[in-house]
Amino acid sequence: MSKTKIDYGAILRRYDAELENVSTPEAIAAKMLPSDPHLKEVASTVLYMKIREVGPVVMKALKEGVEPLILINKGLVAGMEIVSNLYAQHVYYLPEIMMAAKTMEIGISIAEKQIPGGRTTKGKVIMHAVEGDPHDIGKNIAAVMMRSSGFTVLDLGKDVAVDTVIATVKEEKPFMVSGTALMTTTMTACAAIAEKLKAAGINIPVMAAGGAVHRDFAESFDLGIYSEKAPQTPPIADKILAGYDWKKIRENWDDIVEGI
Amino acid sequence: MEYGISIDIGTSGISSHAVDLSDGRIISTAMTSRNPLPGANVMDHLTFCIRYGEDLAHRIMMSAVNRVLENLRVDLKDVRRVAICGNPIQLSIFQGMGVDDLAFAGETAHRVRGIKIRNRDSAEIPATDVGLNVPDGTPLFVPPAIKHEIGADALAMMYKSNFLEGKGIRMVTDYGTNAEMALNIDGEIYTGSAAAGPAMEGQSVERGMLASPGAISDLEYEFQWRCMVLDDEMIPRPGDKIDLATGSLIEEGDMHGKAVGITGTGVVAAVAAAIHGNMWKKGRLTIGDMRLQDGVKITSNDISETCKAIGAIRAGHFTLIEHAGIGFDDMKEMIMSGASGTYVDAAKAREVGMVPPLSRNIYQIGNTSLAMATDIIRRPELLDELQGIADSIRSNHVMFATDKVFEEIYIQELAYWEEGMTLETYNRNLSTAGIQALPRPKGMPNVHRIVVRDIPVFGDLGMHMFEDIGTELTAEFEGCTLCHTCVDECPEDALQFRGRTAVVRTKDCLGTACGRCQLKCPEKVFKYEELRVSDTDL
Amino acid sequence: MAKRFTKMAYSSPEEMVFGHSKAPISYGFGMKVGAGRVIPELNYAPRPGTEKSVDRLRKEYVDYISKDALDRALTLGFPDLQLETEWVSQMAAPEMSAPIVSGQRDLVEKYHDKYGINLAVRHTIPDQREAGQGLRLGLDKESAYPERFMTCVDTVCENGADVLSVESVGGKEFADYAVTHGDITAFLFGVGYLGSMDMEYIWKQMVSVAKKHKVIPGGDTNCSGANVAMFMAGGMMDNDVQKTFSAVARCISAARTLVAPECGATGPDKDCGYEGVIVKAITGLPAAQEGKNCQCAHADLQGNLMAQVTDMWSNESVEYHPEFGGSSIQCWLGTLGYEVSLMNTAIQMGQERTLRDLYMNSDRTRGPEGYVLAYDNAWKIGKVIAEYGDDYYLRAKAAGLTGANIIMEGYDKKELILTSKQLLVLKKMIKELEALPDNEDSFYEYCAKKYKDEVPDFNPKNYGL
Repeated sequence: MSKTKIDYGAILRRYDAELENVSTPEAIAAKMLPSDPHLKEVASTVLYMKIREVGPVVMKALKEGVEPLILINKGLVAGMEIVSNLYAQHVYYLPEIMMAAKTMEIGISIAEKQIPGGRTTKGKVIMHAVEGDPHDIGKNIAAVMMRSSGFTVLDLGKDVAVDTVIATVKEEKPFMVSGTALMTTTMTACAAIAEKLKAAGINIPVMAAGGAVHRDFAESFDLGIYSEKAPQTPPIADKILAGYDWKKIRENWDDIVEGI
Repeated sequence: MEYGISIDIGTSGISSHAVDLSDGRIISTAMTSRNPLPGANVMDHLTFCIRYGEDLAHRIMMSAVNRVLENLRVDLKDVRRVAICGNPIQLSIFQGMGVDDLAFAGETAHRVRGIKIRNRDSAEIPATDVGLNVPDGTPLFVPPAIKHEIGADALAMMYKSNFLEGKGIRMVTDYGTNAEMALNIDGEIYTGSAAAGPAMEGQSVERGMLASPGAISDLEYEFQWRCMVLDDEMIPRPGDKIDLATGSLIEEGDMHGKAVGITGTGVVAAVAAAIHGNMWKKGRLTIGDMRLQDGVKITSNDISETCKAIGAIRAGHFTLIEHAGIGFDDMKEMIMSGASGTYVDAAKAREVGMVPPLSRNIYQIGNTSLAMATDIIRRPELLDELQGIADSIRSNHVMFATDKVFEEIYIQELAYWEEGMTLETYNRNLSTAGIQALPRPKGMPNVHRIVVRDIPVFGDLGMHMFEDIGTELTAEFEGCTLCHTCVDECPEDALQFRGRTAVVRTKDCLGTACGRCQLKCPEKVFKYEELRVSDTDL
Repeated sequence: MAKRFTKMAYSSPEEMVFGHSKAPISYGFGMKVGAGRVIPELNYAPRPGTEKSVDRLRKEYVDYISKDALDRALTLGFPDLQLETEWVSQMAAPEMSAPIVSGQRDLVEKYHDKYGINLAVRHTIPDQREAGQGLRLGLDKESAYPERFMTCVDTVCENGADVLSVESVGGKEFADYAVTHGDITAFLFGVGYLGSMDMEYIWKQMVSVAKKHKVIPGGDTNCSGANVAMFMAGGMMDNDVQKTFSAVARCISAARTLVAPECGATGPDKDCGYEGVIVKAITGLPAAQEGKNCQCAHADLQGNLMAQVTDMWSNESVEYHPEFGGSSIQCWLGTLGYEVSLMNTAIQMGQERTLRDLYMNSDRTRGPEGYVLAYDNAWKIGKVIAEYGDDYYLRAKAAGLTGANIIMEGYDKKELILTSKQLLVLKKMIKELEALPDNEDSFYEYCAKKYKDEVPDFNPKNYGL
């Protein structure tokens, strides 16, 4: 042999080995779907985005004795976890994750009614598009990602007055509030919210996000933290729940969102 | 000789004609390639108004406009009429009219702040009232907005094309940072405005630049891709031929060694090349950076920024078509205005999605705002006519920001460009939502370049392009250690120090969208809002 | 006037080797040709009867043939594959061909996206033009074949093909006569001279349409002339046409096939143009070739040799039908792809020149056709074509004469054996070619007069004369 380093891939390829690393919804589903037939059916409606079927399927499962809390966590949320997994692997795309989340929420809203005292989640956040800003697509996407990750999201909508946000925070006691702005004219509302919260002694992180907002701005006022894109929001929220305050989030921000 | 002066104030520059009133001929042209206000887009300009006062913005603007007038090289004492056109934000700043109703969208913000929607009908007011250096009593003609959200610039693109004529289906779009668009279906008009961002003007692109010598302005397909580079006369000439897939140089061209950057139209061509070569996958270039000539390259991020702009425009067009209840195969006539809409290769624009895919005829018509203002100079009675047209346009304005159809389509666009979702999936998802499929472009469109450049006639005295507009903002900050971190941080080199005084050139400054000077100050003493206008003639 | 090649891209024959060209070209879905790897190109024909309806034919090409091929490429692990659809005559109607072009495009996109396999599709359109009716636009009042030809070009380019090619027929009225009468002058006039002018006419138009639609203009072949001669000359036991004649005809055809690159074709050229070896020596463009793995289509005596400098290795064409090992196209793709993998292994191990010489020497002396195409001889023939590059007539004549002399020398030094009949024909051709006029005008006058009655279909207007 006159040449020792051979690029075997330039001669023939191992599609079998390459394909092993590529996921299909069916393959991942087979591994991750719950085995209980009721829960499997419920999770499948989310996985395959069967928005019209989820209602009847959930009602049937409840009627046949599945505990509502188990139905939510081991059925609907389990289905959504598979979807998130597929999204991370580029098998599913944004529109699919949006649709699956809608499906999950229809199911949750039905099952929830049967839980005395309501359902507990990882925690509650308040999200909104800031005062003067009607652009809420980014916020809607982030809200879906948060719900799919097991958070309760109180979505205040768009063009929400600063005072409405403050009042709602006082009432609902979330562990984080996020505001999105696509217009630079409006993004200062995030700083105003942070200031008023601080004045009221509420030291929860205020996440500033959206097309107009950049990291320097988000970190230019106390309580302020940044999220560059929707998929980064859940891991940041997880860290807050794990005890990080706004300063610690800022210090570790690059590590938290690495690769997302 | 008596003159009239027409002015177009755009987000990225001001242009103006002097017109001989005896025969309506254009005598001279003057323009700047920058807006004097800090910022790269209308949002930045609005933010500047809100934070530092509409009055300051107005004075900076008028100082620049007066300098444009001086550069027309006619005796301003002989000016008898002035007409203006532009988007509602620039016009309001020019007139010294408030912009708060444009700066905040949404009823909550308006109620909380006590904002009233302003009247933007046509007007004839004394030009000296807004601060123009022309003789007392000279009337200033202001064309009407069609509605609150649809300004005089949108009226201009409709009026100065065949958009409003006769029956049939046609669409017009003014390709700018904000893409104003309108669809006419036998007289029923649907309008919208898509926030495309500055990528198509070559900004927010790493090696992006405005059209000037050394800019790669296009890529031509010669079975590999040939860079077209602007020479000293601003004529695109052949540069190097590159195999983009391997990044190797195939053949040197005349302009070898002369490229320094790339224009917005060049970036659109790069997107078309990447798509044609199947090199754009899952939101990134499969070939790493796209290497062009002389070290100029396009990064995945550049393409991504441009694709987001294209996605917003395509989603806008698509939304109007859906609301109008027509199919893509009905939409065969497209009119492109604005500098980007005029210079871009229209066939490539259609390929990448900036023009509806089944358009058969594409008209590129140039800067319609300046053209309409010039028409008003020639015929002031046109103003009433324009008000009549504005009133009679049965316009259905679609607010994309709050529109569910737009949201549905825009999410598909994001997934298509950023995540590598296929067109097949895009269309399957839309079909679930009851929205028609987006077809692939088919055949070749007939491209009609109505004008050779965005401003077709310069006049006998020619065109004067100049840069010394805008104003300096200065301040001395207490506690400043003169560490010059702010100077180093400024991405546009708009900031310097004279002794202890910080000096910001407004035309270069990116404004509040950037704000790095203040944010990066280690002593936290740099306060942008303490900067004051130094120019004494303001 | 089109560009003319007057310099050799390769400064020596030793430089030439398979998988490497002087001007590699990228297109399609990850296809890089002549860039250090040989690519298999699979060509196929639909079953008779399937051409009767639009939908049936589309199904045959897309759902059966293309899908079968792509699946087998994955099965065997081939990293690259180019499909070549050589149009059946019915596809001259756009409603017949457009769905096939776009259908194949969509299919290869899907496979590329899903598996990362590098893919592209070449479409080779039929040239139905008849010399007797008219070769140029507006001349054929009866069938409008030239117009239909251009419609085919449009259909290919508008519907998403990656490569456009053709087997053009200019000069065929003389080639047919020449081969059946053993008349090398008629071949030189028809193929070398008139054929070149016809190619310039059609290729300028094809390149311009291809450019507009961003499609690669591959190249042409003298299938209708030199291959007819080669097939009639046949194998060891055939004697109808002498192989010295078909070898010299091949050399002449190189001067003609060169016109496509001169008009802007970029390669890969057409597989069945065996003269592609000579064209590659001159232009440095990637060459598609065929040989040992095209036994499904025809047999010839240089099956190994033809692989010596190929960039794209083809099976010529196989009809779709079942075999034990799958469909016929799957089986032939298997032999094709494995041969290519051997060449690519040689490249990876730095042994490509050894393998090239193994291929070449196995067929070098088996007959004059292979002998003139052995890369060292082919390069010499290319060199005289480039020397006379500016003159269609003189360069074709020089190619023929040089080829004939190379055979003669090979015979004289006992490297190449010739039968007495082959030798007789060779000597006659050398004498005949040497006696021809030394300028185009006299040559034209001579031929026009000589073949006035023999070739009644000849019409100077077909060639702009």
